[in-house]
Amino acid sequence: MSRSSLLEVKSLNVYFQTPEGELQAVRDLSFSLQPGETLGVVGESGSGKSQTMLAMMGLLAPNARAEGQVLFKGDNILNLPAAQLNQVRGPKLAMIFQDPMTSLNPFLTVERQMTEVLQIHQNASRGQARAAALQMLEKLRIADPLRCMNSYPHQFSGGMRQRIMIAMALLSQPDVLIADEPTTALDVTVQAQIVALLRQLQQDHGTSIIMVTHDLGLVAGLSDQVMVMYGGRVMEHARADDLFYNTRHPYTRALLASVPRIEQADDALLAIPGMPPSLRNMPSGCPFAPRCAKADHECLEPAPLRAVSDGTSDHGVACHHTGNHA
Amino acid sequence: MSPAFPTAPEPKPVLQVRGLRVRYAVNDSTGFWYRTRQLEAVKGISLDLYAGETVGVVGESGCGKSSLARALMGLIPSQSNLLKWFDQDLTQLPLERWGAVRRDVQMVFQDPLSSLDPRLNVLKIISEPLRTHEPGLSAEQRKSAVLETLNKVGLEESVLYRYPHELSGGQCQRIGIARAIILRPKVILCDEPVSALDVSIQAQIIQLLRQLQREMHLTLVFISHDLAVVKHISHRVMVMYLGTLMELDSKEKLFKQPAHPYTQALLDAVPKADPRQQRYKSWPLLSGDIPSPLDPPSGCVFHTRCSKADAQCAVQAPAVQASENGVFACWHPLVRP
Repeated sequence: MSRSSLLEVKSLNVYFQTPEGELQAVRDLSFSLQPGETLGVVGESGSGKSQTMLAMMGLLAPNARAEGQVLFKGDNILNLPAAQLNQVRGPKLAMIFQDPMTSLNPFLTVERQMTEVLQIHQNASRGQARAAALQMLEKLRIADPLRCMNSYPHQFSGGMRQRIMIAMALLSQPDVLIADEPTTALDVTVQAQIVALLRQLQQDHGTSIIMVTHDLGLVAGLSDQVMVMYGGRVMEHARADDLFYNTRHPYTRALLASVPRIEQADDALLAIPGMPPSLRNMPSGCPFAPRCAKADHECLEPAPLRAVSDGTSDHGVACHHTGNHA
Repeated sequence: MSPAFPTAPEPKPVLQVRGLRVRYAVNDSTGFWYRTRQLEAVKGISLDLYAGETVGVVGESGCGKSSLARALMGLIPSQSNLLKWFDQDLTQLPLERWGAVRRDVQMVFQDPLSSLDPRLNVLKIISEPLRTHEPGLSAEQRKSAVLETLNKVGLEESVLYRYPHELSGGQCQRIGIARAIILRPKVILCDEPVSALDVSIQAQIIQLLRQLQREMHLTLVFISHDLAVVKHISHRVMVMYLGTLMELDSKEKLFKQPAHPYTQALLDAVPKADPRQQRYKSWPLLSGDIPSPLDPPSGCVFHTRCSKADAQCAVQAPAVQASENGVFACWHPLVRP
């Protein structure tokens, strides 16, 4: 990969210690992110998409352990001691979560929570921090930012809380913003507002965004590259256009066909039989094989992520049967 | 209409509602004294439901779609000018005497796990409606009815003695559906039945509901915030906003040529899995959030966020007018009927 990568993840593995032994939630995951680029990470529950992000932020549960490399501007930040990690996460790598209510402290005003970020990370004075926070709220087009600063989280709607979370994450002008299902709890009209906001911020600041979601539609317009995960593995990883218009992996195809879409005829819905594997009974081969129409004896062995040739570069597919259809 | 759907709706309504209202008393104490205020969650909804059809109900959170379903089931008190299920006038009937109707009208809930009693096994959960409505059945008869129903919803016999926490979300939702259909109801009200499920499981449940509708000639009311899901399962779609009907029309008309600006805004907000189209799309955004139902805007409730709103909209609420196949309530409809 090129030297200019802002963030580069190399063969990341995440393990959990459980009473039933060690379980692996993420297997051999790699990607790189350029400045100003957006990566969409798509997967169902249990696909390992959230654990990947938590591992990168050093926020894994105590019984979890990450292996591999997470290179941020060339430095491996995985397994750094907390004090050094805190120099990076927050100011450089910021994260927003799915549920904006539980990620805000209900006892503190928005001002306390927003200014805290700058006071800790940039040694700003209270006045400076307050001015910066106000400016950020204005930039996010929050009506009446002064009143907003003096309010408590419960006084806001879900969409407003998520905007406050985004404002807070952007205060220290991070290089990478990780958004883990940021709009899942919101209504579609509010979701469209948040997506437009993220896009505009990206244009203004050149922030790189990692968008984690289960909604293929949401990453379609936002992402430069898209990674589809299943059972802890990357199934397909390509530029957004290639992934949607030149889909190679049976799982991505099935996922696109099984999601009801507003622009499609109504009987085009094809359900994927069965259910996603749990970590406890992960198939030893390709995790999607038990639900895949193309599966045969080859699929008892896991397929490595291989580049497929379709004219463009960087289209990786983990499937034994990609050659059969073009 | 696609061939996958059952025969065209019959002209006899199974449900007639006129001017349904649901009010809640909410705590509004600011100081020492206890005070309550009225929150009107559903403000005069009228609807006819025909045998064999699916009516989708969409709207943002807080638009009263769940309150509507609960009021139709008689789970919460409501006022209306007329509420008639299968020619039985229930307008004035107290809720505790709705028993006979509840046999024919069943409900499937959003959260598949919390809507099942964690202390009952699957056999007991699914057979509970039988014990209430057909107390004469023997344990053997109940078990065979449960097995037959399990088969219908695509579950194996092996789940019979399991408890809800041992099952996946999709399996729990299938059990919720099994419990709803074991009495062979005529109508099922589905309140966001797939929104808590994984995308690949959602399609399975939607297909199951469509299949059961064909086999059992069910009438469905399908409540969801997801327009794409509603489009896939419904014959007619009702759009609600702050407890008010915005538009009700055939699916084909509503998704192709909506009359109400709110319907159009909802359609525009749905992300499509088509990067080229999405990337260059200028987002015609609805500004702001849905107003609090405690202080609904004057006039047309949507005027605060509507791009077409003018002075009239703020003063007077538009009346519900008939269009070709449906109805809408707007002063400035997008296409004149």
